Amino acid sequence: MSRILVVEDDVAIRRLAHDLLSDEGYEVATACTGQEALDLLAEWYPECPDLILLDLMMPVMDGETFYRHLPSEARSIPILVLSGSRGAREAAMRLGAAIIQKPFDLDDLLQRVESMLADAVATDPARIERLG
Amino acid sequence: MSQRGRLMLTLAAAMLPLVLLALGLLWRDAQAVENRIARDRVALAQAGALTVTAYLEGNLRTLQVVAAELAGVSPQEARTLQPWLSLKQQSNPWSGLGIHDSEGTRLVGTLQQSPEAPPVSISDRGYFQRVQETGEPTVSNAVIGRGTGRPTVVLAVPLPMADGERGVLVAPIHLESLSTGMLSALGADGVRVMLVDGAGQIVVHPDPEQVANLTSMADREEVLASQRGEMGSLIGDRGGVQRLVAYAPVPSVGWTVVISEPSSIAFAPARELLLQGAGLLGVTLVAVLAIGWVLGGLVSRSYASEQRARQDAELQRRSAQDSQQRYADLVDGLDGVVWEARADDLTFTYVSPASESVLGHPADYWLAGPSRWGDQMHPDDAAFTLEHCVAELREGHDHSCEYRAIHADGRVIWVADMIRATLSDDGSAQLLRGIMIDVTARHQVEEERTRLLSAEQRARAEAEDAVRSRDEFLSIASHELRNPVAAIKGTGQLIRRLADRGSLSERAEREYLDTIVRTSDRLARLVEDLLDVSRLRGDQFQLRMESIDVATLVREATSTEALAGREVRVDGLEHALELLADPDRVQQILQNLLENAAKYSPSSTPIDLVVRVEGGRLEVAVTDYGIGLPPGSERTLFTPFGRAPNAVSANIPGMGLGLYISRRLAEAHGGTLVVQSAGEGHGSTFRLLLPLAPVGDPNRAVGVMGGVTT
Repeated sequence: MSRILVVEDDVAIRRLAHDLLSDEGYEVATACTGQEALDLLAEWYPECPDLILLDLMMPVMDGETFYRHLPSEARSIPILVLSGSRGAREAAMRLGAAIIQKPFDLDDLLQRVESMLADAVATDPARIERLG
Repeated sequence: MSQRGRLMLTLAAAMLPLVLLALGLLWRDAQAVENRIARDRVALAQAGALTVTAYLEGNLRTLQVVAAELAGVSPQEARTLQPWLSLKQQSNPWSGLGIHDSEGTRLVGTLQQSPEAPPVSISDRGYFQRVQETGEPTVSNAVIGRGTGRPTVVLAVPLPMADGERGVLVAPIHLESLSTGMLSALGADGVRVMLVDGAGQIVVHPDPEQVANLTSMADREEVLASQRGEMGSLIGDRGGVQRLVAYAPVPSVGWTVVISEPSSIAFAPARELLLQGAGLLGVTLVAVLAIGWVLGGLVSRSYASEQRARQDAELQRRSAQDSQQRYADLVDGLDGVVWEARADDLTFTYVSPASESVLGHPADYWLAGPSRWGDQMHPDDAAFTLEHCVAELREGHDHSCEYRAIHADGRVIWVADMIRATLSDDGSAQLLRGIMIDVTARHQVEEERTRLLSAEQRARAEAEDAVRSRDEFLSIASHELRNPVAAIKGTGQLIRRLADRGSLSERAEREYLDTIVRTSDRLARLVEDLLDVSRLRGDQFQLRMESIDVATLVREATSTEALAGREVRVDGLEHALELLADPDRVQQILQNLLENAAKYSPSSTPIDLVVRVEGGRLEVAVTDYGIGLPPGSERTLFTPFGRAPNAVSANIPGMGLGLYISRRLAEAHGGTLVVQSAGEGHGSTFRLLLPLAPVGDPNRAVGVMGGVTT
């Protein structure tokens, strides 16, 4: 069971992502700011989520700042940026993250999530071992 | 023309008469010499004539002596006297000696004759006839000797014979002997000494041919003149050669002595004299001209240098005058005050007249009074300037400074003062000399330039800010628009998806639909706000000013749905208040403030609305007792999409446009919107300040009426 962290300030989208992914059988946690997300990661440590859905424009701590504050062992977590802002694509590239533009189709979102999780498993032997 | 040239010309002009005179004198001298030479030649000819006379006279006398010895001889006796005659003939230069009877028949002679030959008679000869007629001794003209064939003259004297008859004693003389004597006496190189007999025949001549042929010179001028008894000289063409001919008659016989020589030889001394004189003259002339040339050069040079010196002196005098004048012109005409002051106490020792125009006081003002350098300075600048300047200058350093000065009319002007220190021997400054220039205009220009520059920079910064904030605005706006759209779309898809699977509970479906409705509302509000923001930013915001009753305004604002169930305490509406403003916009501001107050405070807490008037402004203060504001959040609060961090973290929905719009609307009315908060959890007070009426500012009123304001 993959664990997904959704970091999104918009309550409706947060709820949408949560309900969609939960319905697909993922374990989903949500945070409405970057700071909350860091707090959650710290709480889970040494467990890490398998994927982070990240909004970039958030109050208090935006997505980029959140990424810079990630502990080094959490940097390898695949990130899927959810954004509607204009500079999002460049920002996502800076983070080494994939991006899906708002508004998105739910099928697209699920497909991206699945493929990213599959890639991560294929390229991370430690995780394969652990998952196995 | 050069000085030298002029001098040479003068010299030449002065010398011309002298040269002419000298040439004249020379010519005259030469003539005199020629004349003397000619006279000499004539004298020579005369001498020749005397010689001939003496010769002939002597021989005639000798012949007469012989005749005297023979006087009374009979013809028979005479025929026997040949030896005696020979004896007599040999002791004389005669070529023969003979006795002729009165008939002319020769009785005896030294010249031998053949006995068979007929007796020689001389009766036809002129000299015989002359002797017979006159009884006087006579000399014949030249003849060719009958016996000798040689040119001969015959001397003939009468010989009284025994029978009383007159015989004639004759003695021929060969002319060669006469020639020899005369040539040896008179001859010289190129000089012909000639003797011409009474018939004009040449008797003596250097050329024997001439004598032998007895060439006639009878038609010659000199001969004719001589036969008239004259003596003299002439210059004539003789055989193509110009010759000086001197002649003198031999009186007793009517002969002529002619001395002839080429003029070129005869007059050589004169010519020589002339040449020498001319040469000398030429040399003198050349020398004089050369000296003149040299002197001319010297004089010219010295004249030129003198001229130059004079010009230099004049130039110097003029330049001295000029420089004085120039100095005066410069100093007086300068748009700056030239001044001099003592270094120790800074009192003025000189101030140029320009001080009147620059500082307003005439020069005397500074010199007469106890004024010092620095008195003219603006009090704010004086201390600093003097301290720095004087320190530099007393050290002997030149110094320039700019300061404000007070003009006599009270104006403040900017002055640039360039000062130079005159040093005394010990290196300390003795005198300060400076020039104050009014640089007010420059300062004004600089200030203006600085102002323009900063204005331009500000404008550019604003423009850049505008661009940046527009980009930012668009970025945020797109994000804010995409979020609700994404939510609505996604939620709709989710409902369908869950419904398809049959896993959609009724409760969840309702929640999702609520979300869609709420989010759609939010989207609508957002679009409305974005339009407002866009209008406000784009200066295309139109206010419809009306006179509004404030109480009505407040009542409407407090009675909205958003405030349902909240306690709103209104204060300050005891007196009727009129406000000139756009009622919709003011209503928008008030509603926004009240909704915020309600949104960010617990529903149990009241909201206070206080109206008051202060300094012609209406103040509406809306206070809540809610989450408050963290320090420093006031700034972001009024920017587009700016929200307080605690509002976000408390998950209170909002787009951060309301306060931005409200403040812009207040500003558009000439008012403002400010916030105060005691901190997080201590509530906030927003104060809306609006002018009651836009009075006293017609421009603003016009701007408002024109519908364009910011």
